[in-house]
Amino acid sequence: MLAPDDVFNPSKFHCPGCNATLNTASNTCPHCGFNAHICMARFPFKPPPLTRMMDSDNAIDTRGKKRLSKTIARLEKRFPQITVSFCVALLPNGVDGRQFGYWLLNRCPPTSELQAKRRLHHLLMLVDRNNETVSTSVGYGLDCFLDDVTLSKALHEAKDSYIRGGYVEGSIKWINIIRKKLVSIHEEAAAAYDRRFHLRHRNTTKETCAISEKSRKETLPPIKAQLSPQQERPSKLIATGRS
Amino acid sequence: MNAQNYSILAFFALLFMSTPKDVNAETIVLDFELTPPAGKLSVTDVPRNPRSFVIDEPARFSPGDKSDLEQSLTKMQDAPTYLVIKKGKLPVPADLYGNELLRRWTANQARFSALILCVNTPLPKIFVILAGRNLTPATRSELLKLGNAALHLADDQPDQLEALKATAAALAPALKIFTELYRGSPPQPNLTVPARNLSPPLQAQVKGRLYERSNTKKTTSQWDLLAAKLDWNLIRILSIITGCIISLVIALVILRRIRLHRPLYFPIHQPRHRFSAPYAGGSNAQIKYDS
Repeated sequence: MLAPDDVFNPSKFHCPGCNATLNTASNTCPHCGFNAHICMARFPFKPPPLTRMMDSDNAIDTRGKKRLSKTIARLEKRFPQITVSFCVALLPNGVDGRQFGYWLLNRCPPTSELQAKRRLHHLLMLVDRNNETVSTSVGYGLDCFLDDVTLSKALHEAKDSYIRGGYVEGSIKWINIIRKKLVSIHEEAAAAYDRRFHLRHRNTTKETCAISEKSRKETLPPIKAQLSPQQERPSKLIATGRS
Repeated sequence: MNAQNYSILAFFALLFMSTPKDVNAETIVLDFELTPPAGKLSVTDVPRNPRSFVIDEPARFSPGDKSDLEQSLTKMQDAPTYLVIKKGKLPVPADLYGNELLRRWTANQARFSALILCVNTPLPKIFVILAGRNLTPATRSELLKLGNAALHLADDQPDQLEALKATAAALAPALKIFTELYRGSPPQPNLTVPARNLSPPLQAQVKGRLYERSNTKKTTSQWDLLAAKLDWNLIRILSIITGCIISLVIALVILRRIRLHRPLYFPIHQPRHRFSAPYAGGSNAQIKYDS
């Protein structure tokens, strides 16, 4: 039984195109006209599979990969719904990491039905070595709990580690911060679920879900269908920063 | 026939009536020369000089019975016989306890002494402990038979108090006569024969404990001294309580650890689809890590 999205006091969200703050979900940004199709057109490549460690340039040494993988595994063990991907790329100048993360999360094809479901609780961490930026994106399943403010705060808390120890150290620190924060976030979410949804909306859930399902179907058709075959190119080009 | 003759008859009657004892009674013969003193054994609520010949810790005897028994035992100063009813479990084995008591209470001039010890536990047990100095195997054997015979008298009594009274009343004059008879023949300290060398019929009669010279090095160890002072019941209860508390704490720690590390699942909610994206709506969380 799905809870309505307003149960958890969802915060405002931002447009990946212009970073404008939006109050309501819409198919196109009212400020810049950004939507998924425009984004797909900006990165007309075949995306790499979404795995835990995405380092096509082998920029991270084996020990660093092991440590990162261990830290991610710890988070995934505590929160079995969540899958984490850590991606290091060399993005061309002018390419925004947040937009690229958004593209990766939505464009990488899930290999199974289960993976498609799990994608909603995916947490992507993207390090752009060219611009020296770190950005994070989460799936719809988590954005009620891990909103932009929480993600940004954690990044700022880990900033010292990024500067002193490099992006591997910083990312480990960030993942650990998020893991700790998720515990209290989970407590609040579970309490809110019991208080607001489980008791008050029990009888109205089916009705609400039916309305939500209807509105979802009215959105634009799947993105993959919109892409033309000519647009598909190897992802290596992106990783190396060459166009 | 005068009173002395009756006593002699009583003695020999006792002597020939010696039969195997019941399971809750035992005769112990001690030789002060061979059984070492218990040292500082503080069994030791034991007074250095007994207040009376009848020590009844649980106060089971009526005052009248006690004084009657006391009077009859007081007459036997040459071979004193004590009756001790001990409350609760003995802190050390009965032989050590009896040795300590008789060693303290027997005057130097007394050749023999006896103690009827009743341990007043849920399973009461009567010990007849006879002690002397430089005992020959024959003398030991005779004393053993004397003790067994006294115990045999207790079998016919309806209750334990009567049994104790009967045993004490029979043993005290018998021991006195034994002492008088023994005075006739001088002690033979160097002629002690191990009990195993006794004739088979006599050995068969010996049901009690007989201390041989080779086994006389039994001493009260430091452990016995310590054990006598410790309250084992209290220690056992404290150990059980401590064990329970430790187990409880360990269980709580384990439960807490399990709780802290249990997997957490977020509630599933309707996704807020936006910008026509199937899985994620994007975010603006980004920092520049360039120093």
